[in-house]
Amino acid sequence: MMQGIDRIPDSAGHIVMKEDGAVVASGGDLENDEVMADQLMRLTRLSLKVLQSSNSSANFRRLSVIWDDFQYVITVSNHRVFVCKRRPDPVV
Amino acid sequence: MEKPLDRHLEELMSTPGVTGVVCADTKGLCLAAKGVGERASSGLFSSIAQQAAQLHPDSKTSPVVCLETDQSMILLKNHNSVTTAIHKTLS
Repeated sequence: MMQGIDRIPDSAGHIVMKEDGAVVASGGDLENDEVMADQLMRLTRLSLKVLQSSNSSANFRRLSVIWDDFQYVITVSNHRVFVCKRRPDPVV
Repeated sequence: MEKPLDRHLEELMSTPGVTGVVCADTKGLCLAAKGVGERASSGLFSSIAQQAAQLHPDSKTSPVVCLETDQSMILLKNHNSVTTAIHKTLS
């Protein structure tokens, strides 16, 4: 069910949701964060609308929301929305 | 009045990989567009940028939103009440 999202090395938290927004699993910083799950779901739906409205055959691959010190990476697969909160790779 | 904005858009369009640019205000009104970017999507771009900023409203900076497909990507950022969407091809 989790598809290994809880084992991503630099993950600070994760949420797995159904298409209707119901949280299937969560952990780390995002554990039991229903408010964040709802906002992330809204963002995902808006993003998918962009692709639908552009009449292109492009398939949704990934949505990233990037701040200086962390980012949310969102993907959709098998009727599930997977969200991972990640810290960026340290710059040498 | 629009010349500085047009000049910035031309500059962006000359960047390798950039295929289109759309600028929208906070209400989704399209301020300028060039290339493949659809003017009709300006409302969605503005909504996405605002929704992304709502994830962490205490943050001093607005996030960059990157929407990737198997062929291209759209980069979104809100700055000074203007949302800019940049369409890029995947290199």
